[in-house]
Order: sequence, then structure tokens, then C-alpha cells
Amino acid sequence: MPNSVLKIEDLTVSYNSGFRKEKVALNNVSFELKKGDILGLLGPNGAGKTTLIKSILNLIQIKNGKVYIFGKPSFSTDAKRRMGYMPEVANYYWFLTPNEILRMFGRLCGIGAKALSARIGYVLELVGLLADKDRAIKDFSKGMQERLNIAQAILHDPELLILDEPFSGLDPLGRIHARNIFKKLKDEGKTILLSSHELSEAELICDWLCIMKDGAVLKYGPVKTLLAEQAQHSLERYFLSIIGAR
Amino acid sequence: MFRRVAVIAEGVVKELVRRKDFYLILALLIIVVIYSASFSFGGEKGFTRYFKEMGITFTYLFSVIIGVIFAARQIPQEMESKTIYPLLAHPVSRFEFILGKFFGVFLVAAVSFTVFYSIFIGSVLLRRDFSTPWLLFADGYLLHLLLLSFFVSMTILLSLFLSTAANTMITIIFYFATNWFGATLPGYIFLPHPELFDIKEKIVHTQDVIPGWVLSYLTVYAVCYTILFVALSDLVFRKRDL
Repeated sequence: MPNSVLKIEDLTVSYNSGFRKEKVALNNVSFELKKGDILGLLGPNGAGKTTLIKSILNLIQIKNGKVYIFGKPSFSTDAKRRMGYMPEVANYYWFLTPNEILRMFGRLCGIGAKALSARIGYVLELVGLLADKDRAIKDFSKGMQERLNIAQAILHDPELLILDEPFSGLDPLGRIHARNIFKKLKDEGKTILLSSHELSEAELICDWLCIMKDGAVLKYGPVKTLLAEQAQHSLERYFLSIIGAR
Repeated sequence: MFRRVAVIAEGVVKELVRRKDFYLILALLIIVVIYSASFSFGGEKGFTRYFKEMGITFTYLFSVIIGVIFAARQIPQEMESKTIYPLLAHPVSRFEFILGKFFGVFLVAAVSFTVFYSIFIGSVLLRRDFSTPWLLFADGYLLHLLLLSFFVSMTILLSLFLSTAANTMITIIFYFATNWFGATLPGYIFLPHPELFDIKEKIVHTQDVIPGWVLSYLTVYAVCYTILFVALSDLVFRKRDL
């Protein structure tokens, strides 16, 4: 698998949901992401999208199955170094400034001081926060925090980006800005896994889809092929027909 | 590994500098010292003892409070605000995270104690009381640092099971209980003995310095407990779903 960036094999995750009760959150999920692909992870609430992302990041215990990033287990330091993650909720230490937060994350990734300063300047300019780099985060609006969220995810120039609801909390202008950043990253050859409820945004930037419901993958494939399969022109209609909603 | 632990610890220290807790407690200690100095009773000798006792009691207590409060809120706060997600998505293991938090909080408590202890010694010297040998002050300093290491690691472990408020309350009660009741506590032999590190009576009454072998024994005792608490924290935390 020389081109494989993210490979998930028979992933099963379950939670304790009361005395001797177990709820299966992910059931034998398998798919693969190749270099340069943008995969949209779609599904209704409770489909298992966030659980899948948490499994990739080793934030929860996996019951069965394996997750590989660039052929290495996802918990390995090397795999983490090549991956960037943008969480759904953009919360960062209120007592720090964007400059300090990014410096902290950059040092955790082992970036040298000189290269880190240049990189911080670059990403803050890219997300439009350069002028606010020394302002306390507690004074930031939600949109500014989301932009900082993008900046920290791409700071160490990762080859794989995992974006959890990247458009939530952004105004229309912010969405366009974020979309352009993700397109630019795609042009640079980055691979992106994007979980979203925003079907219109997903349709604009994704070239692969993975539709989930009740912890299982219902459909997985290139956007064009999937839409052509059911003679659909809109992702929204296709999505509704797959998950069985009216 | 050490660089990543240091980065996490540095974050905790920055929190101390930018929060108001430390400055508030520092102001409180200065008020206590000035207030104590304004009394006059029991003759010069009696008053000096009273002044020293008040000063060192609050110096010890306030540094323990800072250490416990900071340790109790670190991990629950990270989990509640979800700041832990992007942090652990970076090349940081859960063990490095726990270790970074421990060293950060210990540093915070140690720096606070150093500032408070300096104020205490300074105020004693300002009263022209030179009766306490420097070595005894140094013993008191070292032993209290060991005590802080014990309490910080214990509070971090408890923070994986208890809310911040419950953890802070239980740990402070444990500190008072072991100090006040010592051997009369039920199940005393099964409990850790942080009261062994408290030599304020010796400092107040200017007794002999602590023998080297006792200091060595107490250092090993505190380090063993600290390692045990940090290792248990790692064991619990690495299996926890976030």
C-alpha cells in the first residue's frame, strides 16, 4: 500500500451504556484513503462519525480492528507527526495568545525555533489572524477561534488532515475562506478526512464519500460514481435516499 | 520525551502567572504577616514565637492550597473544555501528558512556596530574630518541597475520579487531619504520613537541625509515594475514553 495514507480495517468500538449493556458505536468499519484524496464523512447525528475520528486519534479504546496512518499504527509518534487534527469545538487555553498556543504545539511536534517562527507567521497570515497573534484568546470571537483551530491543525505541515465539522461556527465569508484553504491544501497534495453536516460544502470540495449510519458504512466511493449509481445530481438528495430519510 | 513534558509543564506555569489565584494568596499572606506583626503580647520572646508560628503555618498552608487547587483542576478542566483533544492529537503520549501536568503543578507550588517562605524568613529577620539556624530553615524548605510533591501527585491521581471541588476539599481535609491528629487517626498505619514533613514546631522553637539520615529517609519516602501516584495516574488515564 505505497499510496495509502489512512487505512481502517474492521474497526469496532462499543461503549458501556448501563449495567451489562453495551452499545456498538462502530461496527466493522473499513475504508482507505489515498494520497491527495479528500474524503467527506457524512451521516446523521449518532452515525459514528466523531467516534470514528476519536478512534483514529486514539482518544477512545478500540475493541477490534486496526487503524494505520502511512502504514504505521495511528498511536505511533511518527503517525501523529504526519497528521493534523481540527476538533469540532475550538477551545484553547484562554490565558495564552495564538502565538503562544502555536509555539506550544509546534514544539510538541519538534519544530526548531527559527522554522517555527516562520511557520507561525505563515499559518496565521493564511487564516487571517496575523494582526491578532498577541491578543489573548479569551477576547476572540467564535469565528476567530475557528480560524485558530485551522491554524493549529496545519501548523506542522501535516500530510493527513482530519477535520471535524470544520465549517461550524463560521459565517458565510469564513466558510468561503476555509473552503479556499482546504482547496489550497488539496492542491499541495494533502490528504483530508472531513466530517461534516454541511452537504453543500462537502459536495464542493470532496472527491470521495463515506456515508455512515448507526455505526456502519452504508456507502463508500468517489462522489461522481456514487451519484451516477442512483442517477442523482445533488448530494443532498443522494444522501437522503441512502440514509432512508424523506 | 523530556522536551514534550517540559512544554506541557510550561503551559501550567503560564496559567499560574496569568491567573489571579497566586497574587490573591500572596496578598493574603502579606496581610497575615503585617497583621501578626501588629500584635504585642507575652513579652518579646513569646511574641516572636507567635509571629513565627503564624507566618510559617500560613506559608505552608497557602503553598499546599495552591498546589492542590492547580493539581485538582488540570485534567478535569482539559477534558471538560476539550482542550485535551488537539493536545493529544499531537505527538504526545498520555504518560507524557500526566508527567507534564505533574511537573508543571509541582513547579507552580514550589515557586509559590519559595516566594512565601522568603517573605516569612525576611519578616523574621526584620524583627531581628536570628535564633533559628539557617540549616533548620533549609531543612524546612526541603521537607516542604517533598510534601508538595506528595500532595500534587496524590491530587492528580484523585482528579481522575473526583470533581475538582470534591478533590480539593478531601485533599485539604487530609492535610489538616494528618497534621492535627497524626497517630490518633483511625487506620493511621495504613495511611501515608505527610505530617512527617512538617517541622514548623522545630523552626518556631529553634530546635536541632534534622539529621542527614532522617532527611534521606524522608526524601526516599516522598519520592516513592510520588512515583506510585504518578504511575497509578498513568495506568488509569491511559485506559480512559476521552
